[in-house]
Amino acid sequence: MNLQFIILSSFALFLLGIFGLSFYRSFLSSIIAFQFIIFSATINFFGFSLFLYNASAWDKTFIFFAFASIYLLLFLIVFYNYSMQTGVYELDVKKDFRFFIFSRSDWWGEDRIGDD
Amino acid sequence: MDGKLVLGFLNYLMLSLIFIFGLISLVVKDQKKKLSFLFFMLFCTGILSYLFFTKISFILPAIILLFFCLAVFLMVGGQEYFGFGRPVIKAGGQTSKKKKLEGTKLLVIVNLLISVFLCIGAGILFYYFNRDFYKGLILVETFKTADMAQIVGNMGINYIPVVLLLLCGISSAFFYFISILDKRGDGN
Amino acid sequence: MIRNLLGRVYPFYPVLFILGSGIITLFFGLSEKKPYKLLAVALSAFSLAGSLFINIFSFNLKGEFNSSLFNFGTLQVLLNSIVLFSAINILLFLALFNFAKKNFIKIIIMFDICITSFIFFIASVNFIMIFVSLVFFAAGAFQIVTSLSRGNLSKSIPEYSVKNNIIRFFLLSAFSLLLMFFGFSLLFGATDLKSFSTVIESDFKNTSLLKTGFFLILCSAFTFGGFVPLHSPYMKMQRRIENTGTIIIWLLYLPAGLFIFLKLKDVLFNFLGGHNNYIIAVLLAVSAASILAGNIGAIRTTSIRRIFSFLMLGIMGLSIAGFVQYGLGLFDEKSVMIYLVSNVILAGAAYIPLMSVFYYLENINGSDHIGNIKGFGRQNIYLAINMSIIMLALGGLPGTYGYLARISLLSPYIKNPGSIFAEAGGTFSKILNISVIVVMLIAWAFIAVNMIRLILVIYSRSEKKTGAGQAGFEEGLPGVGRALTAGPQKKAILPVFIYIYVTFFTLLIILAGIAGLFELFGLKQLLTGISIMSLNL
Repeated sequence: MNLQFIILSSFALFLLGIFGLSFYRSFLSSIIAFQFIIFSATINFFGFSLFLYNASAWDKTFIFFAFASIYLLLFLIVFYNYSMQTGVYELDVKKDFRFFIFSRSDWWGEDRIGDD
Repeated sequence: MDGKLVLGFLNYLMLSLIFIFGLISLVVKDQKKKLSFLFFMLFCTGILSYLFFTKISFILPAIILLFFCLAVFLMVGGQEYFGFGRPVIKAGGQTSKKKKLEGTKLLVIVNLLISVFLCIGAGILFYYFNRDFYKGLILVETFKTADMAQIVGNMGINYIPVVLLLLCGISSAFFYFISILDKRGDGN
Repeated sequence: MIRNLLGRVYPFYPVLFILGSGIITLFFGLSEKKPYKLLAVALSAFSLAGSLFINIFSFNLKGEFNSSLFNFGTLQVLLNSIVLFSAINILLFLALFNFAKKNFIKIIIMFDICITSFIFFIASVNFIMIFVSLVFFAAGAFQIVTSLSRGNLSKSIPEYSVKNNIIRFFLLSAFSLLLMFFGFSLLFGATDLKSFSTVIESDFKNTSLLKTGFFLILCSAFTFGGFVPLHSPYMKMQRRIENTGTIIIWLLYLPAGLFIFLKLKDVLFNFLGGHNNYIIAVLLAVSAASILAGNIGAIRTTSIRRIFSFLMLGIMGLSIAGFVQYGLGLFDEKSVMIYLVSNVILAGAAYIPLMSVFYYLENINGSDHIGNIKGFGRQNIYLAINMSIIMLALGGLPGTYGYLARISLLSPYIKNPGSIFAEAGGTFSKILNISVIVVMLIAWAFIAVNMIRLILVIYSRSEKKTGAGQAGFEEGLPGVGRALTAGPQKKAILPVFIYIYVTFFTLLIILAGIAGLFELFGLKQLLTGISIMSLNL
């Protein structure tokens, strides 16, 4: 087992997550891309802990609290997205959830309501 | 076969599988298949963490992760089942479909190329910038990981405010779910 | 025993107050009756006011506090005070605009918990504490914004549009937090030290993996704050959500983004202090992009919310420019912190009174089109004068607090014009200096232009009502989400309370401005005990 290979693999997974966020438009793809980033950070923590630190409890503590908090936030967002209380279905059929969109209404002038 | 070799091979296999399942999960269009491959990826991460000798300390975060994935799976399934009750929200008038299709295809390809090149560039930068970090590293002689008692002890002694914050956050989420699940909606 | 307990809880007495009021409110948590709602508001208001007082009083009594998780000094007291003051005003907005909501008390409870998370975040130094408190704060903000924005708020904005854009913004927020998590994992690889200050003081600070980790955490700070080019989710959401939701984003969420930079100050000062021109250039580029995009974008829109959203983006960009000045050797560490905090205070002090009036007018007229405030100045002369002063303060009018916040960035060049062309830094440094001055002057000019534009519209004549109504323009697509355009302005009858509220902020801004000018000219401190220029840091 080579630490450098493990970290490079985890960074590749991180980049896969970034790719998923930058290219794919759907909500579910964004959530899946988030999982890649979380897993890559977890692999980093476990890898470094195993190879560099003897019996470190700090990283495990961090992972536990981080998972609890970040998954609560993600669950809130997912729940809100799929909740049917508003009676609106097929939400992200036309929706682009990418963070960077180079369109006129995002940078300048009036906002085109209804185009999302 | 030497145990270390087997361990090493399993590690590399799991890392590769994680990447492959992840890629497939992104690429497939069907939502349920996406989640299925995500679950496989989760499973491989669990095995990998076991190979990293984390033992039981991955179980706690894994339970949270499992609940989340199950919840997403149920909600996606529910959306697909109930999703045809109303017409899809349409916007815009009729446009030339052919031109629009060609334009969209070009945009998609450009977007794909930009994303891929950016990611590859970032990867290359990361590799070259951090190459020297591993040269002077002193690795441990034997692998030892903290057991559950140590981790819980660490949380209890040093991180009580975080636990308090966690409890507050969960309480807040509880009120949020009561609020959002109120079928009467939010009339004034 | 109580003294022991209180001693152990310091410096989180505000948390005790706020959680205490939250727990008492819980007993009425599911009620929709008006007296219970009033009780919840009163409890929350008293707890926030009490927290504000105890925050300063206990610090004066007990002094600084340091532990492995928290660091509580003058800066933290100041930031806590800003947050608690903003929270009191947000509570007022909640009470004014959302009192009739069925889930009002639940929103108050969520709001209390959100403020608690923010207070923990301000004091935290340990990586776990920083991360977890920030995530719970973001989750709290999400809960409040979505709870407020439920139901068909405006006939011109379809609900799916509101929902999609809220989700998009908070997905960006989650992404920034995940970037931060990944950055911390790399820091762990370089060293197992647990706070930024200890890492910077250690021998590991020049490790490549550490630098990569810091870079990613810095990226997460930019992403969280909605800086250009990832500002689109923020802009879109602000246009669509409920009134108080926008105030929460402007007064709490975006300042949290700036406070992340204060958490990273040791890191930034360490790397900028080496006259690393490339890092300075990158910071300047992001700052300038946000300033220019914010100020120029505001000119081309007729939506009041969008104008102020763009301007806030510009203010965020301006706040980061202080780090650029540090890199150029023109600011010391204290000046950077003072400059950043001054911008947050100015934005809060200007936005609160202005939006209280604009949102009342939006409710009356049905849209936030700029045409709906035409003639307001002729109908409500007193209020319009106050608003004009506040807007000019935001634009940097001398004699107001806004002027002090703006001039401080340029003050090193005014005191020592030769520093622009100093030989020490080389040609690149000279170019950076000139760029900072140009960007600052453009920012100042554009903010002023935007404010003057609004003032002119307020004092212009309103169109008379005709049978055919008024031709406007179409914001949305045909048949979907057509925004209400400017119509004949209805006479706005505002509560007396709003007049008192706006006057309070006008006086505050003028008093702070005059006190600052006194200090600038070396005269006696007008506000005894409080230094406007140094903020007692």
